[in-house]
Amino acid sequence: MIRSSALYISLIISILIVLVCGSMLLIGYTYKMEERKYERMDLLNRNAGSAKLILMGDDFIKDSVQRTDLFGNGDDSVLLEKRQWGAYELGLVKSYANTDTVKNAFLIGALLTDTLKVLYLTDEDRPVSISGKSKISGTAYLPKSGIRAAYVDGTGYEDRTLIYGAIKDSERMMPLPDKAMLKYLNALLETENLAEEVLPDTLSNSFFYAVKRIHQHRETVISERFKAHGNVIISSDSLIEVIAGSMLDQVILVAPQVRIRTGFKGRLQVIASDSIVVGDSVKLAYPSALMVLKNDTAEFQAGIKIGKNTEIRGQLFAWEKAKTLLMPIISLDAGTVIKGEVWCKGYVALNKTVRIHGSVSAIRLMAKVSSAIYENYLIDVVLDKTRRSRYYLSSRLMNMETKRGGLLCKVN
Amino acid sequence: MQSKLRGGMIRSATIIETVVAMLLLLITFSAGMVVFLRVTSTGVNDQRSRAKNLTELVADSLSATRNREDLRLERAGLQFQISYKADPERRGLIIMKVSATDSTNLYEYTKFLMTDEEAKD
Repeated sequence: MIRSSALYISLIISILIVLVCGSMLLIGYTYKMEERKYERMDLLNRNAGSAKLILMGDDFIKDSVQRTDLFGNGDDSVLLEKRQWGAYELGLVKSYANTDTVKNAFLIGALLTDTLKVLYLTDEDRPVSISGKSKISGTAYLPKSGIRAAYVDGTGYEDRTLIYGAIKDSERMMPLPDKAMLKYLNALLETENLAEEVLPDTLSNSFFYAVKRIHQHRETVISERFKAHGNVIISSDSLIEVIAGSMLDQVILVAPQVRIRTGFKGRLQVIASDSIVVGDSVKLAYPSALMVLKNDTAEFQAGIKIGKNTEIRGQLFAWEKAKTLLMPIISLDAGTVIKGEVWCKGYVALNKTVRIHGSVSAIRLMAKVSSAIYENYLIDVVLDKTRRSRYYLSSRLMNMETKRGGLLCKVN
Repeated sequence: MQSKLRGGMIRSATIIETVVAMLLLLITFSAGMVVFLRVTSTGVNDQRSRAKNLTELVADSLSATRNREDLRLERAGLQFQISYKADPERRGLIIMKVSATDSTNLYEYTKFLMTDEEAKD
């Protein structure tokens, strides 16, 4: 006998239909929410990209925070901030809608004012001499007395072409660096009122927070166990010594003297008033910068000394306000490669087999062979601007005329 | 409620029971249809997603070619109106606006670009 109960069956069917419909509604709602969130994140990322362009322009005032609605629609709110970070500028962007926020921190580099420049030597009425296996590729700004091939140690210039590129006349003075940046860098070197702090084993600080500065009144040794990352400045009243094996990424070191030991690898900026000594086989990743700003009252030769087979991707900068007899010197030892710029208001000593994939700007060149020192000589040195990356960005310090910066790298 | 028939006959529901069951089914089916239509019309919209993807593609392609002139394009059955406007407050920047439409306005995309001169540097 078949039992029939229409109400009972129809109730079960109704419950099933309600369950199916409820599930569909839930799935649809979840999809809709996810799609909206995805779209909102897309919009926030796009707005963050637009905000970056605003920060990279030179009309955005440094050390200021600006909240703005990008397109005036009321739904493209961003918070912009720009401040100096060593040789580069730091851009901070917060793009937000409802409870979602996209945050970006990045370093801003300066576009080169002269992308073709390979050598700038001030005009002191002395020619430049080139010898051995040297090669210059790019535009050379030389004294009016020009360039000539020369014999050194019985070896002449091996090529026929003196310069693979244009030759232009240089001025009697070096191009001026950015005054505001020099002021900022000098202010970093003033450490009189800073209280002493203990250096921990690990330091990490986001660029979205205030700068973490650790200062010591004595010699500071950065041991092989030490790790520092991000928005950190380590300064000392006397010397900072960086041991190989320590991990420094994006940090700034400030001291009268800084020594980077043989074999160190990292990415950092160094600001010194006396000297920076870099050992052999050191690798400084892009963007790194070594800067010496000689004290006005100092009566010694400030400078940067780079050891053998070292590779630095970034900028080397040595400066003194008024020209003295003991001009600053940047000295590069054999086998060293600089992928970037060497800028010195003084001497640049290039030993044999040094390669510069970028440019050199100096008052005088120097070369040492055996015990003899040759001024304005290039001996077995390669200066090649064509081997510099097309994405290379410099510092506004050496390119003050540049109107717009570029995205150097993202930071945390 | 149930009528009981003897002699091998099937037990059946009363007419009232059947009517109530039919009404109940009708109500739940109607509610189900409403829910179904609502989900399909306001949930993930394929046409809008397609318009969004294509708008981004068009905007990125035009940015890469450094085009800075107003354009009207048609692609995959959608019309794209691209317009550029100099930003009065920020030197060297222009506002790029891309609108994707079919019969309705499907998606709008706005971002800053560098002016042609700045981009060349």
